[in-house]
Amino acid sequence: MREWGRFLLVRLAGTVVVVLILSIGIFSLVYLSPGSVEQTLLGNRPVTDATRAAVRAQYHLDDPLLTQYLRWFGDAIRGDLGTSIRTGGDVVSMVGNRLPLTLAVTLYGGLLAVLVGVPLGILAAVRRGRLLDRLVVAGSVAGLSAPPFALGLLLLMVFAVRLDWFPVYGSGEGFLDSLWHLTLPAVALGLAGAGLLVRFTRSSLVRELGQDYVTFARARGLSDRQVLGYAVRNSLVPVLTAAGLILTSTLVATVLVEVVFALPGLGSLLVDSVTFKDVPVVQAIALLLTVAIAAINILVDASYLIADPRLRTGGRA
Amino acid sequence: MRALLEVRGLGVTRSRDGETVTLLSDVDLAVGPGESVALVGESGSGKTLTARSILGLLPAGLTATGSIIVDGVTVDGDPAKTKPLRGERVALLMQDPFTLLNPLRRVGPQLADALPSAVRRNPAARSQEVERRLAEVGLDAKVAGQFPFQLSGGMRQRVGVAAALVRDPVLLIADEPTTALDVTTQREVLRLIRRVQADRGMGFILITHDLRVAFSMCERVLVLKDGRVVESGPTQEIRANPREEYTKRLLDAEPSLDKPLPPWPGAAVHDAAPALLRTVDLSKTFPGSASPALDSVSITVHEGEAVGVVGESGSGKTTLARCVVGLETPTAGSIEFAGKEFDSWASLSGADRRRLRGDVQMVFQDPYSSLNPMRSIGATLSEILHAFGKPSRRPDAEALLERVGLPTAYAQRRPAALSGGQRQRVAIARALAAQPRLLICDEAVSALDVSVQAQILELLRELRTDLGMALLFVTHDLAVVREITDRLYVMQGGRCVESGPTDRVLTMPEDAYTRQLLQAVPREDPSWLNRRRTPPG
Amino acid sequence: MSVVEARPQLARSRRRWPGLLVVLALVITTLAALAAAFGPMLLPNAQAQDLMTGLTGPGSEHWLGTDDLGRDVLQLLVVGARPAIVGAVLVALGSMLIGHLVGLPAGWRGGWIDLVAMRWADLMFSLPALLVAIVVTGILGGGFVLAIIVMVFLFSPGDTRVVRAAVFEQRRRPYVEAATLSNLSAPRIVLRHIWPNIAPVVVGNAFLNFAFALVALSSLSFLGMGVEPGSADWGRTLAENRTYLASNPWAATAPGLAIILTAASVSIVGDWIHQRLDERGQSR
Repeated sequence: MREWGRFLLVRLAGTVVVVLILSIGIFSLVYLSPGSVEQTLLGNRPVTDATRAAVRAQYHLDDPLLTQYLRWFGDAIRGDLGTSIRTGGDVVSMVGNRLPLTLAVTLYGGLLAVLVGVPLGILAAVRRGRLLDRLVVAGSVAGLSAPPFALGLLLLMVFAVRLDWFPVYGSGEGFLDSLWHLTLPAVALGLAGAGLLVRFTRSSLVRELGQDYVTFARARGLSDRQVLGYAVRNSLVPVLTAAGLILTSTLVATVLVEVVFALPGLGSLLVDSVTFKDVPVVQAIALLLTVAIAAINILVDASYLIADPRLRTGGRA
Repeated sequence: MRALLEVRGLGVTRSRDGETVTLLSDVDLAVGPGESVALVGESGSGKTLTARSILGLLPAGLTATGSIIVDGVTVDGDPAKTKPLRGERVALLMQDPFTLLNPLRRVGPQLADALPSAVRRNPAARSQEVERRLAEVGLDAKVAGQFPFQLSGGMRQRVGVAAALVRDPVLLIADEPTTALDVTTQREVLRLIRRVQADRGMGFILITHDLRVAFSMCERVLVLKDGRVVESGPTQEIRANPREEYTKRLLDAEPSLDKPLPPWPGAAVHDAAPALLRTVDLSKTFPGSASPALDSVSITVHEGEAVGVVGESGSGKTTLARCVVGLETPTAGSIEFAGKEFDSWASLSGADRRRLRGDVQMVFQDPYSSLNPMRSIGATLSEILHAFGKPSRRPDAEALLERVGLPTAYAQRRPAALSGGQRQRVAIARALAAQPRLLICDEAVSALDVSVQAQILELLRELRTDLGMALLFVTHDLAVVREITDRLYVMQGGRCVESGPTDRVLTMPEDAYTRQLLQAVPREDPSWLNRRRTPPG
Repeated sequence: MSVVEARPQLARSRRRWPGLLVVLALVITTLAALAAAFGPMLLPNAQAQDLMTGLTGPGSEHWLGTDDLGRDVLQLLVVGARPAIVGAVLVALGSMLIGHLVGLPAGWRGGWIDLVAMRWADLMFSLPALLVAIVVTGILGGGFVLAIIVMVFLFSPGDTRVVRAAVFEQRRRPYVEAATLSNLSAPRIVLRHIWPNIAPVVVGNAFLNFAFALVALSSLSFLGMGVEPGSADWGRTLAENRTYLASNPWAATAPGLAIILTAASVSIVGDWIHQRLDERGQSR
C-alpha cells in the first residue's frame, strides 16, 4: 500500500513540475507574439505614448520578468486571468461561459467512443480473422485517420443537409434538444476515439486470448462466458493506458468540431482568440487545457494501479 | 474394469492453403481408473497434441481424427462434444505454473469459478470448499486471498492441481507439470500429484520429455517420435528391455546419476595446471534488491579444466558467470583472469579489455534469441572473426561450421531455418571464433531435447580435448554436470556451499543442501519419490 | 529452464500476396505520392480562376465541379496533394530522426541519458501537438515552416519512446550480449545488429506519424493557419468551400475524402510494412 501511495505522490509532484514549466511557456506567449508587447496588449487600439505608458503600468511591464510571471501565475491561481483584448471582458467569465458546452460535447463524444469502440474491439478479437473482424479493423483505421473536421463535414452533408435528420448548426435549448443538436458533433468526435479503442482493445484481447490461463480455464471446465470474462477483464488493463491518449485527442478534436458545427464552446473561442491574437484569452484556455490534461494523466495512472494488483503490491509478474 | 479413456487411431492434421500435413497418426491409448500412463517424447513428437485432442482444445487449423471415448462418452476430438466433459470427467494441468493462472484474480475466486453455481453463490459454502481444495494440495487457507504473483512456482503449480480438480474429474492429464520448476520443487509437486491420484483413484496421463520421471511416476509408458508411437508397454519392460532403437537412444542420452560414465582422455586432474581464472570474494547486489545475488564467491578454473557451477534458480550461478565474462559489474571482490587482476571488466583499460576479450567467450541458454534473426549464419561468424583480427572470408566461417559439425551450406541460412540444437552449435562456433581459453556455458543445454543435449555435450567434450580450452559449465542439472566436469561448485542463495571434484561431491556430498539437490534429481527407480527428505542442516 | 517446444513456423507457407484492402491502400498511397510529386507540373493551370463558371456541380467538363472561384475541384485536389503530403513527410522523417538521435543512446546506455530523455519525453508527450501548433503558429504568426517545426518537436517524444523501448528490449537479448563480448563497437552493434530488429516497429511508427501529421497539418490549414489563403492545400480548400455545401457539395467533401483516404491508406500500408519486416526475422 505504502509503495503505491509513494508512486502516486511522486507522479503528482512530477505533474506539478510539468504544469509549472508549461505555465512559463504560456506566460511568455505575450512576448513571443510578433511586434512589441504593448502593441500586442493594446490590440486594435491606437499605440500612442499615453496608451503605451498606461499598458506598461497596467501590466507591470517594467518589473523584472520573474516578478511579472509570478504575479501572473498568482493571479491565475486566484482565478484572475485578466481582461480580453478583443472584447474587454473578464477572461475567466468568458471561459466559464464556454466551458459547459465543450465539456458536454467532449463527454458525449468520449462516451460514444467507449460504447462503440470497446464492444467492437472485443467482437473483432473474438471473431479474429473472420470477415467481421476485417471490416471492423478497416473501419477503425478509417476512423482513426479521419480528421474530425472532415468527418464532421461529411456527417453534416449526409445527415443534416441531405437527410435532414439533424440540425446543421447551433447547440439547442434544454436537455433533449441539446442532445439532438450535439449528436453529430459528438459522433464526429467519438469516431476517432472509437477507432483508437477498437485497435487497443482488439490487440490486447487477442493477446490475452492466446495466454495459457485462458486455455487452462477452458480445460478445467469454465463456461465460455467465464473464460471470456477473464480475458476481457485482463485485456482492459492495457486499454486503460490508452484512455489518457483518447481523452486528450478528444479534447483536441473538440476544437475543430466546434468550428465545423459553429458551436460556441472553448474550442471556437480559442481559434477566434488565436486569430485575433487575444493573448490573455489564449493563455487562459491553454492553462486550463494543460491542467485538465495533467489531471487526466494522473487519474489514468491511479486507475492503472487499481486495475492491476501486481503494481499495487509491488509484486513482479 | 471399464477404461476411463480409450483412444484408437488418433491422428491430427493441419490444413492450410489446401495442403494437409499430418502431425500425429495412429495413437492408441487406454487408461483405467487408478492407472497411470506416461507419454514420453521430445519436442515435436506429438505428445501435447495428443492431450489437446482428448480435451478438444487443439489450436485453430488443426483437426483430430480417430476415435476417442472419455468415460464412456464418444467424443472423437469434437470440441462441442468434449466441452461438457472438460473439468467434469477429464482435466488438463499445463506446463508453466507462472502462466496458467489468471494473473489478476485471487486464488480463492479462481478456484471457486469452477464450482457448481449453488456453491459459488453461498459465501460460507464457497470458502469452506475452497479451503478444503487448498488443503488437499497442501496449501494454507490464506492462499485463497492471494494473487498468483505472490506465490512461488511450486505453490502456483499446487494451485494449478487444485484448480484442475475442482470438478472432481476421473482422469487427469498433466502436460510437463514440473518442467518449469526447480529440481527440489519438481520432486514435491510430483509427489503431490501421485498422492492425490492415489487418494482419488483417478486415471492419470503424464506427458513428459524425461524418461526418468515417466518411469518413476507411471505403470505404463508410450514413447512418441515424430507423431507416432514407437514403443509402448509396462514400465519395467521398457526400462529393462527397450525393443526399439529410438527408445534405447533416448535412454542412453538421458543424463543420469547412476549410469557408469565412459572413460575419456580429458579427465585428468588439472590442479597442477596454472590457474586461468580466479575470483576473489566476488559479490553482486542488484540495485533495489535487499539481498545480494552473489555473496563473496571465490572460484578457480585452471587451464584446460572443466568446472561446473550448480544451483537452482536464484542461486547466483548465472550472475557469477556474467560477472566473470563482463556482462555484469560486480559490486565487490576481484577477478584474476589470464594473469591480469581487475575489479571488473568496466575498470579495465580499452587495450587490456580488447586483449583479454577473446580469451573468454560465452554460450547462452536460449538458442532462439542468442543469434541475430536478421543475419545469416555466415555473416554472423565472419563478423566475429573479423572483429578478432582473424581471417574472415567465407571459407574461414565455413571451417568454423564444420568444426561444430554443421554443413558449410548453413552459412547462407538465417537462424530461423535451424533447429534449436543447430543454433546452439552455431552459438558455440561463434564463441570459438575468438579461440578462447575459457568457454562459459550458461545453461547451454537445458533448453534442448535430451538427444540433442547429448550431442552438444559430446561436441563440447570433443572441443575441449582438441582445443585444450577450459570450461565453466553453469547448470541446474546435476546429472549433466557429472558428464562433463572435473570439479564442481554448488551454489545456494548467492553463496558457494560446497566444492570439490565432481565425483566426490556427487557420491559423498558434505553439505546438506547438496544432498537435498542430489535426492531431487529424478531417478528411473520410483523410490526416489518416496524417500524421505533429509531435514536441512 | 523450460524445454523449448518446437516453435510454430510462423505462417511461412502462407501466400505473400497482400489482401484486397492493402492493395487498395497501396494504390491510393501511390496515387497521392505521384500527385504530390508531379501534380503541379502536369496541371500548371489548376489555380486559374474563372468566376463565370463558379460553383457548378459535377459535369463532363469538371468531373467534381468547380469551387467559388471557378477552379476545377479535381485539379485542385491533385495540385493540393503536394503541400498536404510534403509537410507530413517532413514531420514523420524529422521526428524519426530526433527519435533516433535521442532514443538510440538512451536505450543503449541507460543511466542519466535515459533518465533525462525520458523525463523530456514525458513532458512533451503530455502536450497535444495540434493545440500547441494552433497556439504557437497563430500567436507567432508563423507559416507552414513554423507549423512543421512545432510538429516535429511534438511528435519526436513519441518516436524517442518507441526507439528507446525497442532498443532497451533488444539490448538484453543474448545475441546482443554475444556481440558485446566480441570487440564490436557500440555504434556497430546498435546500428548493424539491433536496428534491423527494431526496424519493423520504428518504420511502422513513422507511417502512423505520417498519417497523424497529415491530419494535424490539414486541420491547421482548415483553421486558416499555416498555408496562405487561396492556396490549393486540401484543408484550405475544404474550409473555403464548406459554406457552399448546397451548391457544390463536392468542392468541400472531395478534399475531406482525400485526407481521410490518404491518411487511412498510409496507416494500412504502414501496418503491412511492419508485418512484412517483422516476418523477415522468421524467414530462412
